[in-house]
Amino acid sequence: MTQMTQDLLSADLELGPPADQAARADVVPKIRHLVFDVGGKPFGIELRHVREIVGMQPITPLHDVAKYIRGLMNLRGHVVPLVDASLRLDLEARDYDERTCIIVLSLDQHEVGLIVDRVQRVVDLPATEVDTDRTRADYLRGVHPDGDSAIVCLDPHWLATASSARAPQPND
Amino acid sequence: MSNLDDPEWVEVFAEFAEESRDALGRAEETLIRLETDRLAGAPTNTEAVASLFRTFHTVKGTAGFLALEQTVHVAHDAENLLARVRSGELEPESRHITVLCQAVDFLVAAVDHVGKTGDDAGLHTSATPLIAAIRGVDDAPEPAAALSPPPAPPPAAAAPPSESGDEPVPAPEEAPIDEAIDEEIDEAIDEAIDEATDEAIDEEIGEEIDEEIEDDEPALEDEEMEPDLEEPPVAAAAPASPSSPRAPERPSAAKPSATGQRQAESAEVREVIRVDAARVDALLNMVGELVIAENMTSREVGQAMQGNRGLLQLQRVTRQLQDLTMSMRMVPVRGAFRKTRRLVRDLTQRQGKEAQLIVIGEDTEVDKSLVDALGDPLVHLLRNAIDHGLEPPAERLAAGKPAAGVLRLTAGHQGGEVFIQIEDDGRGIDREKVLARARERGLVADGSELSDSDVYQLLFEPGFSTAAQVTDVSGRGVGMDVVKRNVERFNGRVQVTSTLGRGSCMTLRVPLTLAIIDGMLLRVGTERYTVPMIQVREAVPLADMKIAGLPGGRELIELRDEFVPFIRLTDLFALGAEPEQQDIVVFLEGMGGVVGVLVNEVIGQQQTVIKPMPALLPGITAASGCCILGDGRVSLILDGNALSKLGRAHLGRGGKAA
Repeated sequence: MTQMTQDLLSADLELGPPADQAARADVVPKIRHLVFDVGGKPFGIELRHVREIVGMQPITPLHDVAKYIRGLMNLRGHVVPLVDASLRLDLEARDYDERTCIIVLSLDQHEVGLIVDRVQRVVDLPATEVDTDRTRADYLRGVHPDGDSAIVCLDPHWLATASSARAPQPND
Repeated sequence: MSNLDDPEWVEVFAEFAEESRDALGRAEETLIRLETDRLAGAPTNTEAVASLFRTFHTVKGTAGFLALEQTVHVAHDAENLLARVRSGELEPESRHITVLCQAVDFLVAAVDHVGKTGDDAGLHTSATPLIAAIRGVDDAPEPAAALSPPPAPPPAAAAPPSESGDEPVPAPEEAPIDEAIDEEIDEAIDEAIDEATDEAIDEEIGEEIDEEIEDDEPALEDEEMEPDLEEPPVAAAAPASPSSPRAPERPSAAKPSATGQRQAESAEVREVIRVDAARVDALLNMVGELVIAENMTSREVGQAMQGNRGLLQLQRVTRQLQDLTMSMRMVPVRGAFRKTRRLVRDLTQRQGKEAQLIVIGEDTEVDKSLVDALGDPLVHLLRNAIDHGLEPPAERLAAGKPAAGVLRLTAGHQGGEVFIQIEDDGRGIDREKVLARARERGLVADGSELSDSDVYQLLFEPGFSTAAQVTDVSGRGVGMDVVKRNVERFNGRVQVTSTLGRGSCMTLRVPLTLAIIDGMLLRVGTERYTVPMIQVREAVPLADMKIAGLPGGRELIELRDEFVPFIRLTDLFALGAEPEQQDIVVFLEGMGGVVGVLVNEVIGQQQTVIKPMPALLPGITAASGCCILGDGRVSLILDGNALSKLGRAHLGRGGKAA
């Protein structure tokens, strides 16, 4: 435990938890995550990327874009592209209902909306590192047990962009 | 201790610098206009003269406060000259305009210089001959009018160059002083407007041209009007002239009350305040929100409160506020055109050419950053047009053209782009010569066929343009690679067309980063699209049209005996919209030709703020941007260029093109 904790601590320091917390070596550092459901499964994303959550908005469809990019919405005068999380995750498309909402992420100064089935809660999840070489899944940031299921933490940049990161392939 | 260490001084100077640059820029424009008016036979615009006077006066006043001695001297003498014009004592001739323009150049340069060094003592060597030139520009007809002497005796004309070494070329000893000034000042101008290129040309034409300017002066007219006026002093031409520049000590006819008016006139109304662009953008967004909120309110309570005065007032004020905010980032392209009149005047005079500059569309509004970026390319292109395009009058007459060339500078909006076009009726580009030169340099393989536009693009190859063989005969291209680079920085491009012997036309096209366009609002199913009005050719009910199906589902539609590509927007965007009775085909004109676009309805016309597509969506075709409609929905701005290309591509894939 000690060596691993040390590694985690040093990794976490860069993410900026309070110094006194990091100093207590017996506590695994935690990072705030927003948990949301897609296709009945919980997923997580680091809260620091989340700018706000809004209800479903009118969507302007686009032509000639990846299927999971549903279109554009107006967020107080800003035109924001929308990514459908279930399509991005290769899950079955679902009809939008009154619980469907849009998580507005702010990534490198750019905003992007993530359409999810519903937003659950904010939790502190331990900072862990995923061996992406082994899983060959660069969209994955970590998996955390949560009751009888598990929260899958996603890379926000992978969610938001079409080209820069690899989508999960069937043979991954 | 340098002035630059004094925070108070720096603060005053910063304000002074900003105001002076603005005011001097306007002054230059006014000067050129005065001359143009005079040549057209119009009476001297006294209002313009008064504003020029005020400009120099204000500069002088503040410069005095900042202890900028050389600046004060030059401004003072320019002011004196203008005072004589203002009082009607003097008609502003070309030579007066020339020295006043040089004074403007000096003052602009002085502001830059002082900003770097903290004082203007180093400008001594260029100020002195300039002052002499201003005073010597012609005789004071009535020396008695000179009641107040200049504030300080000008330093000796033969003063050694100062240590700062600002002045590029010390005047040769035997050279007439004003020729030296002209050279120095011309070089300063050249440096200022054109860092990158063609010093060589200036040096070539330098001296003889300066003389030409003087020779071109309408001497007869001068003598008729004011018999005791002498030609401006060119020692070689008028060695015996009493107004020789060698007598700079002679006080000029100073306006008696000049100093007394200083206090009264130095408070000029400020016309501009500078605001952080980010704030303007934020304001624009907020107002957009307000408009949408107002629309929602009107819709929801509108029924119950029909005709409510407060509501109507709210609607009106909101609309006006929106218009106003939209216009805030936009400035007329005039700012970029400001230098052009002076440039054309100076260059044509120097080269003994005649040209009429026609400026169209100065009021075209573009984003502020574009105005700043377009200034330099414009100067390069105009220089080229005059240097290489326009022929000397004799050659023009021999070719059956009027002696004076026509330079046409046009700005406008087209298809979501700003274009600026420089057209001349000169020699045109000799395609074969350019091609031969390119082969020589190994840019083009022997035997390869190039289209005209490919050939013209060769002119933009770095270094290509300066090749003497080409520039001497016909080639455009001094600094063309610089033009291209500047324009490409803004995702723009340069188009060249030319007819040998008839002239050339250069068009800079730059996309609007933020602009308002007149849009036509279209409906397809529940979606609404905007197309720039400028791309709409016509709209025709579908019922009247003939459609031809091609293999692969592509379609053509007949537009006056011609079949053009046909795109159903509902298919393109997978909207599943049902056909409706009043379905209408809107024909858009783009770079790929005309394309017919099927929509359910043309809703109307409206002004729209173009917003760029989000950066996370690269390579969206069909749309050049988007805008936000009154109900808060995002509407794509369809791009006729992209759609017409898309239409062609469809044909290419789908089967035989028509």
